[in-house]
Amino acid sequence: MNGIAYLAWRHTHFHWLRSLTLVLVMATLITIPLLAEVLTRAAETRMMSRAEATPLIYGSAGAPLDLTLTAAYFRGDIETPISMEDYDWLIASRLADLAPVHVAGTSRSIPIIGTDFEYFRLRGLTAAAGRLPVSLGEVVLGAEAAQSLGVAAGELVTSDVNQVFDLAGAYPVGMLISGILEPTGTPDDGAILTDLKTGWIVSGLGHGHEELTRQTKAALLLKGAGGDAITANASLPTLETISADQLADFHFHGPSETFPLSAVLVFPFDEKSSALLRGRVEARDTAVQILRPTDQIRGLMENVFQVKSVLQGVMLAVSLAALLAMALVVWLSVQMRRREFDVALRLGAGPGLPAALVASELLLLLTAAVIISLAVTWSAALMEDQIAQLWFRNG
Amino acid sequence: MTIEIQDLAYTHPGGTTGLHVPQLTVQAGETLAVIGPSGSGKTTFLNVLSGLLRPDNGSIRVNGIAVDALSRRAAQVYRADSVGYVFQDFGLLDYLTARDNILHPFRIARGRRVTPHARNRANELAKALGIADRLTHRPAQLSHGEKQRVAICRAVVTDPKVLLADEPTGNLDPDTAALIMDHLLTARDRLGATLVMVTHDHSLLDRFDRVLDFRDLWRSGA
Repeated sequence: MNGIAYLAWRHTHFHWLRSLTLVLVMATLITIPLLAEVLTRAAETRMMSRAEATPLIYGSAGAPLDLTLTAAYFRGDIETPISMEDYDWLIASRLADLAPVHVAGTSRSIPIIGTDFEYFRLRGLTAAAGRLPVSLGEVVLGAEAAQSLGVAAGELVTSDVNQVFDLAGAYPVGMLISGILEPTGTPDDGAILTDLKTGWIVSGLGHGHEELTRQTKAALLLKGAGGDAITANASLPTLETISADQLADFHFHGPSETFPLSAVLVFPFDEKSSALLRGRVEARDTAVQILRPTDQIRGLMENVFQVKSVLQGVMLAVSLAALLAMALVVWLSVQMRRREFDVALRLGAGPGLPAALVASELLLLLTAAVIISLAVTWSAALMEDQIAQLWFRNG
Repeated sequence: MTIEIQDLAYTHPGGTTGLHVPQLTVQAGETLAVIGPSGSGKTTFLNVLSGLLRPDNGSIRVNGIAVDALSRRAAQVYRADSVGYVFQDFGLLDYLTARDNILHPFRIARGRRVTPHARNRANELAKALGIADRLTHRPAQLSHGEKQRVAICRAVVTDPKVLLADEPTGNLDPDTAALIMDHLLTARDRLGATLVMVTHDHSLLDRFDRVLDFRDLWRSGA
């Protein structure tokens, strides 16, 4: 180590608190923009990848971005669902593979999605443990959802009560976990997937209770119900778990074609089918829409990047202020070391010694700051999956 | 090294006369005490001798070298190679150990580096001045006397031929001052160097070969 470097090292080491403060300030100034760039790029890649894997989404007219986020990313829900009648109309078109999506509720804040077997095929989802759901009351969990809930195949998962004060609302329903999905790095990892009927039960559209007969306790029946009809009152206990021996006790009221869907994922056979289908939807009804998720996500990311640009401007101003503060610290330090430099001059040092010494110290601190910044950014890049999941869930 | 001065004059940037030495010759190995009231130019005299200040008039030759005509770079080399400096306030760096302070001239002068020989030299000097067991301590952990001994080691570690000392006993009690004087003279003997020392302590003057009183210089019409 040459003399100047040695002195720089000894000085920064001796004044470690000042050095540490400067290193942390520099590391912060370097890390924030670097991290923001890495994370937004990672998020963009993940978001676009999901959008590109979902050619079209059919749903009720309204905010296209909300429909996209609900149907493809399971974030939030839409106010006006479409019905099974719409789904049947799409099937009848014979222009695409279809996967219905019904955001049924949550289990400890993890979305429960009602769908059908086509969804697993079209998304390429396979079970890492157990199997995919095949009967009413079975669910399959995404890898991250299973880890978050701390459950495994063969255990039960229970839906949340979403309306505590609504006595007519949905009650918690216990469902059997038939399997855990292979991780895919997509929103499916953070979801609970089940069949449409189970989803509707979770939403409160279907329920299970003991069969009503003439032998049912009078206290459970509505008084005055005459004739052959037997009608229960609200005190009739509903079944809490959909289990194999109680499947027959679960049922729905009302015509099935009116049951709701949040959206339908549409995978057209080819470009012509896509164009035809879009034309037919636009001609059919103004209450529905069909959209390309890529257009929506691209627009969303443009907004994100605009916000990022504004933040970068703010960060630049903050950086300038921090650099000025650092310059002041360095200047004061040089002033306090004038005697040291004067002594050095008398001992044979050149007039450039103070500048060389201060520059060496700053270089040393900057090197430490860059190493910290790269380590933090590298760690963040390694945790891209977890960060992407956070983005999908909370972003 | 012989120091020869002829009609040396220096004026401060503000225009006030800082120094005027009509004629002075100090033989190699001689010891010279410089005394005088504050502001009479004693420290300026040392600065001119070390090549830090260039005189406005006259000449100053050290062992035949015209110090007054040296370029900035040459003056720097001259200081590094030929001059040792001891300060009143010791001039030690608080972030270095005593050993690193002694070796400091090797780290700051261009073309020099800390060699095993330099380390051995530093250890020898520290042993001779009785601070061998204090080499790993920082200045804050040393007494004033120990600090000045470290400073003397630093001044002589490069084997200079001119030893300049600016009130090196100014901050010391009489006993320690006498001890430091012993060390300076011992170091001077070992090096065979010329010692020029500014002092206010008149009790030390009988230990010098010659005394230059700046009060007399001013009285003589300088």
